[in-house]
Amino acid sequence: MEHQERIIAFSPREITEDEREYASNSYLMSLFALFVGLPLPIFNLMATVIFYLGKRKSTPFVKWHCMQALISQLFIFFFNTVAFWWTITYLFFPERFASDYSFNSYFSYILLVLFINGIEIVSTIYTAVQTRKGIHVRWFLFAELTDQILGHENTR
Amino acid sequence: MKTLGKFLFVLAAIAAVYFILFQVNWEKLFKLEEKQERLEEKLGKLINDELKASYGFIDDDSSKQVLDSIFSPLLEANGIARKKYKLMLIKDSEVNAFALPNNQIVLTSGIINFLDSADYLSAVLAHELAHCEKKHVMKSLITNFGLDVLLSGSGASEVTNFLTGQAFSRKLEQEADEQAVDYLTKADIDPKNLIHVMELFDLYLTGDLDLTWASTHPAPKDRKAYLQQKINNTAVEDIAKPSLSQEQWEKFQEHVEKQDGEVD
Repeated sequence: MEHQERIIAFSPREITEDEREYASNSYLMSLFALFVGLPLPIFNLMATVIFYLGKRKSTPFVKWHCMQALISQLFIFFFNTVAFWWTITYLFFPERFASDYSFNSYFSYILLVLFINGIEIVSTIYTAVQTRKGIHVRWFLFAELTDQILGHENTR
Repeated sequence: MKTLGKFLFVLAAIAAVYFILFQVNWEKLFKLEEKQERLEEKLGKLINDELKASYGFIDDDSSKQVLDSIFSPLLEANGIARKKYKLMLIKDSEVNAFALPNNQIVLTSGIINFLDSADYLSAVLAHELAHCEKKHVMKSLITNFGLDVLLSGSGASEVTNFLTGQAFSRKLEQEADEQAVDYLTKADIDPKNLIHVMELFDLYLTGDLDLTWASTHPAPKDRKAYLQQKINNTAVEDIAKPSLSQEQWEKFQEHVEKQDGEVD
């Protein structure tokens, strides 16, 4: 996670209280939906999509953070979906656990997904706290993607 | 370009973490295999007791010797230790053979009387051996009864009924048939015997005989088709002499029939 204060035009002093709250909520929304929607991996993504659509005409700061939250959720959605359906398959066809290779690949994948989700949750909480203070937090890779999707002119 | 580089870096990092995690043998770490073996052993004993309570066993030295002379070459040729398996013959007119947990194979007196040669019995044994070696028995039990029921040790009679009267899924049956072709080929026994057994079952399936082994399995015609395909793709080199001459086999059948008639 890159923490680049003041590199971009958003200065905490220029960010209003409402903007800080909305930007922070875009991250909190995905966390809340994650816990409510467990074990279905679609809810957290849906929550960020809905929040983004609701705030797409908002100020650049809010829009930018909604998009970063959305991209991060989209990223883990694919991993979580595979983990979810793999688990469902095992619940209905437990005989597949009989193969060592099959169990090892499944279990390693579940650990990987837990690891990715762990990083995501910690980063989301950290970013929600920072944006609430008006601090602009750029995530590794997702920030660049957000810039490209929303256009540099909007964010810089 | 910078974004693509970062994206590739993330993907590579994820792949590396997965690769490292995959190197750990989690099953061994959690001793899953050991637990499954213990469960299989426990179930094997339970079902064996259940069978002993319901059927008479033909376990005289002469019968054991004949069965051993048919079964042992099959195991030896495939590098499987003889002592790993227990082969039992029960008094039952149903034409049936089935695999039980803990590497036990049961034949009925009905199937001995039904089959025309010792090589046919080798073919049936190769099929049941494949079920055991491929762990089909435990896979099917876990699927049908769930681990909870099996671990609790309850429902032994239901489990026994399931194993004696039900076939495995179509996929597992085909897998066992195809594996049986390999076992027979390695033991220099003509794998076509398996097809001949199917033909025999096909012929008698509509009759009065209780052909449990055929009626619970996929249709003999379908089995013949994929078996033929498998045999065509298998290089069958030497065919050894039958482990038992036709005369010895018929003598054994008479012996079993006599034993079957005796009251325990």
